[in-house]
Amino acid sequence: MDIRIEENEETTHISFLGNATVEGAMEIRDALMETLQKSNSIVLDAAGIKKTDVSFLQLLISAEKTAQESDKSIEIDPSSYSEVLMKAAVQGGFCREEEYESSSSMHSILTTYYTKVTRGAENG
Amino acid sequence: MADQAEYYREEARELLELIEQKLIDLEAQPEDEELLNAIFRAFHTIKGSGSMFGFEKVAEFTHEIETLFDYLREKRISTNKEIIDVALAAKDHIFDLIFSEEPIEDEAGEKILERVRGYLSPVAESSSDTTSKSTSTSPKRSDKTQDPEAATEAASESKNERTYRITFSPQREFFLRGAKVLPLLQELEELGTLLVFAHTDEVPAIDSIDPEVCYTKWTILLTSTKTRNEVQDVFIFVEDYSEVHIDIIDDAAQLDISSEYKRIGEILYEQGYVDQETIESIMQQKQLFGEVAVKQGILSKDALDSALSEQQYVRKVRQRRQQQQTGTTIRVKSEKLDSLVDLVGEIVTLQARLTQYTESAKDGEEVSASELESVSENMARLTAELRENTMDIRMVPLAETFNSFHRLVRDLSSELKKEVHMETSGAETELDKNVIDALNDPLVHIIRNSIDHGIETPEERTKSGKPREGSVRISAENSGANVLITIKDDGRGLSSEKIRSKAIQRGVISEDAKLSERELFSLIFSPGFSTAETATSVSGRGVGMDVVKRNIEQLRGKIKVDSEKNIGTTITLTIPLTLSIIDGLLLSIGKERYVINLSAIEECFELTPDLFPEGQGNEYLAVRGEVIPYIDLRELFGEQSEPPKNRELTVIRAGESKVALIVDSIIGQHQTVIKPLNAALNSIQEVSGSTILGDGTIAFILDINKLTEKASSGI
Repeated sequence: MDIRIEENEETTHISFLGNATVEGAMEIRDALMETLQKSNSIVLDAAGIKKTDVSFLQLLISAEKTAQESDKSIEIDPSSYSEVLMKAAVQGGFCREEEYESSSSMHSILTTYYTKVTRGAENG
Repeated sequence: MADQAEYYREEARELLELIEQKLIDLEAQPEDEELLNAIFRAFHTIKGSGSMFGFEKVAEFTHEIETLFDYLREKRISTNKEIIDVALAAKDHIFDLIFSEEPIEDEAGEKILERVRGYLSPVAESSSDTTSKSTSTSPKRSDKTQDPEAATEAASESKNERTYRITFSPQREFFLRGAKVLPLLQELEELGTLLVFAHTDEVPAIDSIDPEVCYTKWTILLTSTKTRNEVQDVFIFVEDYSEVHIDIIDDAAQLDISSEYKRIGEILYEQGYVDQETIESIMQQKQLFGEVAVKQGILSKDALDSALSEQQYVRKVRQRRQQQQTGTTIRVKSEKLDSLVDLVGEIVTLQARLTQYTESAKDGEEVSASELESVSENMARLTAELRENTMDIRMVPLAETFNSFHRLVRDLSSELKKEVHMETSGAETELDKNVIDALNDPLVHIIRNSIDHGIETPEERTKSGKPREGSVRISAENSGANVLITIKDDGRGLSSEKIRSKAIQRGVISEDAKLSERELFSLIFSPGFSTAETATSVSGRGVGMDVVKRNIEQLRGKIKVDSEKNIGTTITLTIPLTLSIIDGLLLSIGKERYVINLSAIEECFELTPDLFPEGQGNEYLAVRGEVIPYIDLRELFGEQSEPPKNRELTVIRAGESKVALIVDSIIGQHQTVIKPLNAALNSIQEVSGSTILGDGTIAFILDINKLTEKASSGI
């Protein structure tokens, strides 16, 4: 797994390339943690993800919680399309195609990503 | 445009019903040209209108079926059972294409078309006509998942479908063991339709998280025709490092009139999020259960979300299933609507008069009592007529219901390798549409039972000198304010010995209990009772007859079973004509009011000491020489207030039993709109409903059957 971090003025971009799975989970966690300490706005690029699993999704949730606690923002770039990530998020029950009356989702980082990507796809 | 699509759907629904009926008739008369033509025309219309209203897939699919029937009516090929089978399958598929809101997998349709082409190809010289289109739709991401509607696609399968709630809690070392969650969910997806919730409240912040530990738990709703064991098998390799609970939260075989599902509190209690005490303390605050629980920190928003979704999901599944089985429109003769319009006209006029009087009164003018009385009388007359009129509109003949059973009998006999034919009579008998809809499930269950357990195999039948083919006769007739529906089979009849031994085994009766044959037969209505040795997929799971009885009783009807060994079994249902409005007699006990159905009242009079026969402590009255059991409703309902000096009593009758009810006073007649009781009050047997009186207070409606039962059994 390859993790590329690019620090810009306002935001820091983290790109994940390869397998975002439990084997590389430590590395991913460290990258997320350090970036959250240094930056106020983080954007994740998912396009290079070949494989993923629940450990990665969990880390995303964890990162989101941390960001919320310290008023920082973290999101997955909706223009970085990853079929693998979308499928895992839906299959894993982290976001749904149809909202069943739940107002706030515990996993908004994934739900937001999913919604934005699907809306974007619909609008061509 | 939405309207046009609706219009097409209604038309298609009727045509598809017609096709089904005619196909079944065709089986008996394979050469009948008229039938073939009718079926051809019906498919043709579905195809043509389909393309017109935007149902292209339907049109494409139907095109080939239409060709099949074209060949048939031109005698290029001849009808046989297999062709009828494939035509029925095609009809079902067309139904799904039209009525299912989710895209249907092409596979199912392709399989059917392949079979169809099998019949066409030997014959067609210009087989290039039958264009086999390979319509490929790019599969949507997670196409079948998380949608209850897709679950109820295959009509025949929907009968065996259940919804499971699976809670899956991997232990912390789950990942470290090399186990993976997503493939498990993938496997579950292959068993049916899924709705997955990940609960992540325990996932810690990034600086304290151990990335190799699993902190997430899942609640999964799976709607599938697979058995519980098959579902459990999915988790077989991870059993040692996870906790899995599988509960059945909805079962198509369990008949349920309402599509209502559990309340949020119940769901949360079942899942172990709250205990009884907590529920009670929350119930005291009159806000939405879930909201209070979250506010008080007893529950995470997450858990509430999943419970809410579960509620909605199951409701949707049930509603969809109900809707699939019953159309939601009725045909009405235009004369009925004309008189309705006239009535409304009269009411409008009357209302204008009332407004006028009110204005006059406000201006200080006098409005005489007789003028008001006239308005009131006319209003009463018009409401009565209006009520009759609308009731009449809702009356629908049983024919449609009976007709759908032909298909059922055919499929079942085929599946169970028996030969059965069905006869009906009295199909023109009418019942309120709501009642007919509610009767469908119970009747289906009864018929299934007859064919599954009653009718013997053709071999057994010939051995016992019966004709090979068994018969099921369904008839309906009017009887006073009720309709009697009988389902009679000429099978092996109920075995009172088997019932007896099963009942003893189940602890329903004691070993030395002495019961008459009739009483033994009624035991089949006990919950969990089934004397079938093996549960077939059709019946025998022991969830049937007690639910049937409950459903019939919810319609304020009765069910009775008669049987003779080797001759057959007859089940008789007595159903009242309408559900919702009765003429009642209003009574009072203390400050409370009660209503009794007027038709059950024999007589009313004052309670005088001479009615009590000698000796206290008897529960009998002597009324004009007849000894009748009585119930003092004050005692029954625990009324504490001072009784009036002179009390009254009314004698009611249910079937052959009579009972006298002692009340404080009989107020008078009251047209009663029945409102069902809240589920919490269902355990009170003596009361079957409630109504709102003119002054806004509530009166309970007494259950005549239960009261007479109570009195005559001397409790």
